[in-house]
Amino acid sequence: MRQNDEITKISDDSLDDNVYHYHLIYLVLLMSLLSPLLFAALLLLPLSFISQQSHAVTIEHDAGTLTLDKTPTRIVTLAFSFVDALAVTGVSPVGIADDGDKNRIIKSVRDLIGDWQSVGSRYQPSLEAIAALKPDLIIADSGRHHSIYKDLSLIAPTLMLQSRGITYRENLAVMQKISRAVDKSAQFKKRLKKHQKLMLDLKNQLHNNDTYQFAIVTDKGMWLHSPSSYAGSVIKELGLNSPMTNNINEPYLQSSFEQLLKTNPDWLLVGQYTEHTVLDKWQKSPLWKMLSVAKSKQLIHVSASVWSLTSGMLAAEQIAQELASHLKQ
Amino acid sequence: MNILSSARQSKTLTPALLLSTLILGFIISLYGQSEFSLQANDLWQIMIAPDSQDIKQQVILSLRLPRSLVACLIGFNLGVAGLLMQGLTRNPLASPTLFAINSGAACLMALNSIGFAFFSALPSELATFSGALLGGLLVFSLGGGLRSDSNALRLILAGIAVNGLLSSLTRAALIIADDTAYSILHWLSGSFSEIDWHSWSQLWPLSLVALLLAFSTSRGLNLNALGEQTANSLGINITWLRVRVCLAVLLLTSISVTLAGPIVFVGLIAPHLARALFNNNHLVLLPASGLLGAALVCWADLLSRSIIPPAETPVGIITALIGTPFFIFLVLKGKL
Repeated sequence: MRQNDEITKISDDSLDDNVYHYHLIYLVLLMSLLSPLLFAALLLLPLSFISQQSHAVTIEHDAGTLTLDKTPTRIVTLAFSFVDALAVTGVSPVGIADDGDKNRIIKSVRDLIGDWQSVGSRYQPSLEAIAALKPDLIIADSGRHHSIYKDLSLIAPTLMLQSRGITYRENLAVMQKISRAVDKSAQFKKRLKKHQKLMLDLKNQLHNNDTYQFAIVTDKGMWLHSPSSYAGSVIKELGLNSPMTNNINEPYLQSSFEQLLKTNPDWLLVGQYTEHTVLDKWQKSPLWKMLSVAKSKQLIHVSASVWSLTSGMLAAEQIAQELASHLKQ
Repeated sequence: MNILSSARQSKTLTPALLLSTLILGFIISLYGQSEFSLQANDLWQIMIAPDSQDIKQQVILSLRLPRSLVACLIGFNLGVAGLLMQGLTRNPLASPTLFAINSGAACLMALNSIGFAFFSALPSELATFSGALLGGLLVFSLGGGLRSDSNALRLILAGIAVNGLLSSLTRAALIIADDTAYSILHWLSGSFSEIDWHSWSQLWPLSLVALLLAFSTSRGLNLNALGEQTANSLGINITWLRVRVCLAVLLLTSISVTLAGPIVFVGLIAPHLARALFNNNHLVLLPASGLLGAALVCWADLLSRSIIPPAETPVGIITALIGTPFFIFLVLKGKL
């Protein structure tokens, strides 16, 4: 029995030993199987920590800095150019200060975004209408809405950015800021590349020595948009010349007929705000025939809302394509 | 002419100086501050060698000449209108602005620009002119109109009230206008930049009628200066005088504001200057105040082009800039 015991013990021992070996093998096997997972888990640990806070972006804007803890989803914009910025990154605002007329948003922008609520005019947006939409981000025009910045900030985090009187490049910088705020930097970069290629292609196609001038006309007068205005800087970006030589730092310059005669562009692109304009009167004058645009019939009527009211990537593309189509004719 | 010749020698020198200031301003404004670097020589060339293909000559003939003529005539109109207002109300602070003509014109013009109701159907100039007439008639009727017991104070109070109403409407329209607001604002400061021969042909016939009417009231205004009751007892029909004066002021100011926008202070300053330089006879004061207004507006228009060329500063701002210090000077000197 004792021997038996011995045997049993031995066998037990050997069994134990075997079991131990098996355990080791299992452990090694398990380790080798799990290690990539563990490794990945170890790697992901700080990453997951970051991704939880990845929306904590800090953006410098015209009224200070704004930190957003999560990606805003209910956005209200108080200027047209900001809608363009959201549209190119596939974000739809819930509210727009559209002056109560949806057609104020140009079609190329309208097509990319969903329906929105009007929050009144850009000049005097309704704070109540904005608050009713429960936004988590308001993008306001620092030129217009400076005085209501505090009120807007009480409703939701507010970005104050420039919308009017800035150039094409300045506008792109503003657009980039907006894309960061809504966590769409990657989409924006991709779209920007496509945009820059389009602009460059058109620039190469359009190359010539004529001078181009965009102007807004009303029944009260004509305003020339210089190369420091939005439309003017898009024209410049396309490598086209401006007929203006002085006061080019002033974006909009009121022009009498005498000044137009002096500026005398080869191409005059006009956007009308009113049905009857001073141009109707000027065209009857004997001096009209002395203008280059009258001799070459290069007076072109364009959409004031695309060329002047809106600014942004889509508007710039439309301006560039419109110019290209007229030049090819 | 009797009055002029009987005046003291310094008083015959004054009209000569006044006229030459006006003529000088007129000539300089024909070629001054141009993008085309026009010279006085170009004026001479037009007379000796007219050339319809020369752009400089064409600029002077089709843009500068009507502009200077209109500026002078509007200045003349406003000067006369101001004197009429002060003569009628016997109040040194009265001016055509009191009649709410400017604010009426501005109001309807702004409503027209934003496409408000049926106003948008009217041509802009017609809307402005009817606004001017409407504002003026409203003040006239609220201020007593044809009633014999009405007095000048009532007219002034009516003017203040109507002015307030119309300017608040204009402001509301401006807020709605937004994108076109800057073009309306520019118009609201008064400008001659859109003047052409068509404007001149609209201006002179109406001005002529209104000026003749104005001069026909000068004797009545002389007597009115003694007080309404005295004038009445001297055989002046005050109601009839008031109607004629108001009609003249209405026409003179309405046509001016329609073409060039509200040009302030001219109607206030020119009469005071005229009184300081000449005697108190309205037969002399009327042309004198008119000429002073013309010279003032002509030089102001010239200045408006020279401050930040090639952009034009609205001429109404210049007249206010010249007018305000002058007005303060008058107050300090105790001339008011």
